[in-house]
Amino acid sequence: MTEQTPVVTGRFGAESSDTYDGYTRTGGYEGLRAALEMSPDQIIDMVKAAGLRGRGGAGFPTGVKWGFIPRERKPTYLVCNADEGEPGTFKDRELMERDPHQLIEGIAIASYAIEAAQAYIYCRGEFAFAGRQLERAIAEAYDQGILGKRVAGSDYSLDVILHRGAGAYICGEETALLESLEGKRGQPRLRPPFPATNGLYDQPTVVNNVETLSTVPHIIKNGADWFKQWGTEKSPGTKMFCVSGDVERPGNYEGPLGMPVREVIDGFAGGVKGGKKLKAFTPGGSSTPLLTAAHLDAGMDFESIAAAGSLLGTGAIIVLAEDACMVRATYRFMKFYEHESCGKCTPCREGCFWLSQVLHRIENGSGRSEDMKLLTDVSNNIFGRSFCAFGDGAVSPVLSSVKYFADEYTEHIAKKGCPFER
Amino acid sequence: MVNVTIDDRAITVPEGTLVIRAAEQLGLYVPRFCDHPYLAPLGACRQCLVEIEGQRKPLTSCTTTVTEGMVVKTQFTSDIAAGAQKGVLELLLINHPLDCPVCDKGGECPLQDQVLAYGPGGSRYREPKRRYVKPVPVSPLVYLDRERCVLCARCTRFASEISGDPFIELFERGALEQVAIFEDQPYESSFSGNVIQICPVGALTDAEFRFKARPFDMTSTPSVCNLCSSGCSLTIQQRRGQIVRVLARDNPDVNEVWTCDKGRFGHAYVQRPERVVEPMIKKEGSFVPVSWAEAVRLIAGRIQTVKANGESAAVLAGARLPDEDAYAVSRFARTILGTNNVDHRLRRGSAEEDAVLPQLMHAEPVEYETLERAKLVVVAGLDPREESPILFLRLRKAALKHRVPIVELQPRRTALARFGARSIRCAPGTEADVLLAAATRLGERGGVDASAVKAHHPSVSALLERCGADADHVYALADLLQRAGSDAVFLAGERLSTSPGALAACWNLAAGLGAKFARVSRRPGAAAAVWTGLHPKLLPGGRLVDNDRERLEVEAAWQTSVPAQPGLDGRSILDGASRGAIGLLYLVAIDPAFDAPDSSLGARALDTSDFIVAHDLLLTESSRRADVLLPAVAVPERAGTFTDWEIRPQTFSPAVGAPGLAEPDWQILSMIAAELGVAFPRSLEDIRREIRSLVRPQGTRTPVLVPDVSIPKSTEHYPFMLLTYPLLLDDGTMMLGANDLMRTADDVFVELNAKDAERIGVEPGESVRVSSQHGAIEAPLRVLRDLPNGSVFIPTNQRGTRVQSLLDSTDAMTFVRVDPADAGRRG
Ligand SMILES: Cc1cc2nc3c(=O)[nH]c(=O)nc-3n(C[C@H](O)[C@H](O)[C@H](O)COP(=O)(O)O)c2cc1C
Ligand code: SF4
Ligand code: SF4
Ligand code: FES
Repeated sequence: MTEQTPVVTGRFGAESSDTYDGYTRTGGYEGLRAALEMSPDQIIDMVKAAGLRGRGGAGFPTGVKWGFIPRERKPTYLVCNADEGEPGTFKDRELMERDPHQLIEGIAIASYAIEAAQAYIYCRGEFAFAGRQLERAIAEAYDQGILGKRVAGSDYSLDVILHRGAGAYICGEETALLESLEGKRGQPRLRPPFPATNGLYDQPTVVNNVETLSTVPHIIKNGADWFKQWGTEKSPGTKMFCVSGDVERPGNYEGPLGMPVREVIDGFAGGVKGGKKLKAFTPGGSSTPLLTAAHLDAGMDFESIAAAGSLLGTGAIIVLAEDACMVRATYRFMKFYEHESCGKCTPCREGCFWLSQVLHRIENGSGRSEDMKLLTDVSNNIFGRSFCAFGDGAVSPVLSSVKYFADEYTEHIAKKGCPFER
Repeated sequence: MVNVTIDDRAITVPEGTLVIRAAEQLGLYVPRFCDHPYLAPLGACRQCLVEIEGQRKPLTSCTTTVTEGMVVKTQFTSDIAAGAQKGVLELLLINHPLDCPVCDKGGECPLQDQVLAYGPGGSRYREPKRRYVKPVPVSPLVYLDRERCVLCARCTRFASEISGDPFIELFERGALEQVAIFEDQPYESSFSGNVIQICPVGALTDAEFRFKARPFDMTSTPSVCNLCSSGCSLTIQQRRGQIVRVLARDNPDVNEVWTCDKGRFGHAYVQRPERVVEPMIKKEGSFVPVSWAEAVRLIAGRIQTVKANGESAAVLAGARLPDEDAYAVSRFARTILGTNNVDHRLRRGSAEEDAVLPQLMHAEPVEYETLERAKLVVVAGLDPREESPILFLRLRKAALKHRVPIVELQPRRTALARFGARSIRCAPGTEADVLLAAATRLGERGGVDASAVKAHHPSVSALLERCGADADHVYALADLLQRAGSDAVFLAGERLSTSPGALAACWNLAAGLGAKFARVSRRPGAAAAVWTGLHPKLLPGGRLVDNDRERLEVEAAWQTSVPAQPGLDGRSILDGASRGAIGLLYLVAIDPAFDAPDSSLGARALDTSDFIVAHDLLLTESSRRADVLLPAVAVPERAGTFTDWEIRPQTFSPAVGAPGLAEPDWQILSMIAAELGVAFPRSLEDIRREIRSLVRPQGTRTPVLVPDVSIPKSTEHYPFMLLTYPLLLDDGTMMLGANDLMRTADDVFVELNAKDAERIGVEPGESVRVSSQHGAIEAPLRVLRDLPNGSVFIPTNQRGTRVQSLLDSTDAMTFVRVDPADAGRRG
């Protein structure tokens, strides 16, 4: 069994770590106090130096993002993306449930760095418990003088508002999230302009993921070099990996970026269930192209996974064992995207609807010989042609499964049905 | 400027130009659905993908702006672009019903055209298509077919970006995304027809036009709308002589690409069986058809008799006449009837109006575009959405897109306030007080030429007290005026002329600031009526009857003498007629018996007149009382010119033939002149030449005297001051036959503020009885927040009411009482 490297998950075992007392007892809010002694620019420089990259999927350097905020336009806003809807991803939920103050501390530091007087947490509506935990922790933080007027005794004031989503995956996409937060339909916005200049209510806005913000207090408290002791040069630090599917011990595990996939699956999650062989896995959630057993030695960092032909995404590894049907798995993924497509652009709206029907047909014995070309064509008409990144994500399972498991499709079509046991 | 290359051709375009527009300039048409030149870029349909050198993926040309040195390849030179477009078209068609043979859009459908040009030959989609109930009425005018919709959001963006109505929105997501209306909010828009025109497929169809014709079966004629003074460019489409559809025509200077529902759906009156189609003479109480020769002979004879006996003649002509007719009527009155008794108003004139009107043509013109560049627009005595809808749209654009501050000054808050216009509300009839208070405040700070404010009026505080306007609002107006200076624009509604001192105060304030001023009337021919001299004191070109030099210029042009004494205004003409003092009353396109602002004067005047000639399209309260009724042609049946509120003349030609023996008004007058052997223009060209020669160069503006008005006070028995004006869709004769359109009209209502409503003890929706010394009406109550205390608004001419029955045209202000309707009955 491989040892974890607990940074953001460090308090998960500690007693009452979800309360203000438990949190401060274990060094909580020290990062914030240190930050309030620094200038906003010093904080941004430090986060840049640490090389922290966004944990919401795209891996954009966090310090650089904060540095884009124009200083002369007020108000500015910080928005925490807690919508966590990517299939296979459940790290933000656990962070909010078990250590909500860590997130609040990260939010306070980030808000101070971009001189925002208001921060919003857009929390996935289905996360009832996480939402309650946050609500309670925010109230505690106000009571303890951490939020509200004069944050931790400084001259800085900050209000944090919790907003619950209404159940749309697309509202995790940052511009759709902003639309939804403004009370409009959750559909992505045209970019440019980017949120950094025209975000919430058209004001400069930073959107960061829960895990990203939860990491920030540790960097401020311990320094950039401390953070860079883990990970690779371009992907420094530790990250939570969500492992699910056909494994012995599904769950969240924290380790250094760049650790081999094999170690995450075998060392952390106890290997493929029942000692079976691994057939495929997503390295970063359902929107990242599937990889196979041939890629198990790739490092779990942005560059290595890209080199293997996929994306690190949210670091959510969904494991499919040798007896899994790839057509059925792909159909299930596509059914999700068909349901969640926001409908704004033609390729994604119509294409996902079409693909899911074709996959359903193949799985259920009505496949046609021309279907594989059709799947590829339609996917290619979505990929790179849609309005937002949802489209690319939606066809990742299709294109990658057709690429690696063409024979399974052919077998379905030839045998007029699924050759696997259900 | 930025240099770009598109399909190997170089072009230089201004910074910020979208690639799709730059391509258009080179004649390269990139297929598109969601893109629309007057809507914000959306990038949703993905049809316009092009290849741009250095970019990994094809980009949407409708959202990408040009950059220096950009190299673009459209479908004409790039396989990637062509492939991407083909792919999108295939996807757009999978759920499309492909029912072109029965679709109204067939033949003018961007989807059909673009699939033919760039699309795949067949579909690989074998699964069942998405099905919806269809068509669903979005309103009485617009039907929605969701199966045909390509979800381009043009219609929903029109509603939110352009008209600002809670009209249609997209609902649901993914493949179930669909256009729908709000179930809990009433559908309400005066602009709904535009969405039919901009829908790139047959998803939104015209309730009346459905299944009537194919585009290639119709003949289109460019035209100008004659239903208000906005001046919309229209296209009238006819099939076998019948008008089947009216569309908005592109005119960036005026209506951009929009028009209102009245202009689009309100032309049914033209081809109604009720039209008057032959000359008729009243014999023993009923009309008998006669030949033109006989009618003209009879009229000529009567003119000779009247003149020989020294009786007086008078002319009332509607402000809906095209320029050429208005001019012909003005000249006819002066040179054939020999009188200055001519007016386009049925009310009383005033010294201040007489002083301002002739100067209007001298003012630097205000154009639609001026509004977008103004630093402040003051709207007074005008409800643009009801009275000039396209002006409303442009004001909304100025406010939202160009951040132009707008201040409205009226008793009743209008739809302008919905997009942030500040409202200064005052009691009806006290608009002058607000303007004088603002001017005085400005004068105290040296913000305005002193001559504009020198007067005998009371102090600012006394003025404010009298009009009841919020002092802070008035001071804020003064501040805005000071900042805007000559970049302010005043839009004065014709109603301002009926509020004592208001027109003069507004004019002086504009003149003092060197700001622009425009008078906006509801009727399409109002500007021409003033300009051509349908006014007892004005001759063409704003020349004064009693100014010898100016009159002589007109006499020289007409080569005949013109009476030197000013004539009677509209109300005095009616008064005279009701006393039997008018020997010949000549009515052109006007209905005093119905429209005169008086409970009975119009009808009395006509009933006592000896001899009435009327030109009209239809039988009205007035034309049915005529002795000779002459059939006039309607605007779509003739050529002419309309000068809109901007003073922009726009010509139009006939779209359909005229019924029966109908003739243009000017032609009828010309026939009478010929019968009498008097010189008169013989052709439209003659008239236009004369009009051009009588245009006067611009002069300077001089302040006019603001009358010292004492505003009558309400009495205990009649405690409410009445405000009334017609809404866009009223019960006018021109709305005859526009049945679907009239289903979108408001029912009649009486408006009070909440406090007054409570005092009277009626709830919204309950019926109230409004009575004056002259008459009474009943209608349901509506509550309008912040209508001034003691004020009541009733739309003038809503179906089933006649507010005129409350009025007496001798009163400057009308006072009424409002009671619960049942109380009236019990008492
Ligand atoms: C379809 C879609 C869904 C997304 N959902 C989430 C999400 O649930 N949570 C999240 O943090 N980021 C999500 N993202 C990424 C965000 O758009 C954004 O990049 C991220 O919140 C930025 O935060 P970071 O820089 O801290 O990673 C999603 C992106 C897409 C395209
Ligand atoms: S790709 Fe298009 S339809 Fe899909 S979620 Fe993004 S904007 Fe919506
Ligand atoms: S109804 Fe027409 S305009 Fe509206 S979204 Fe559909 S296709 Fe576009
Ligand atoms: S026209 Fe460009 S995306 Fe629709």
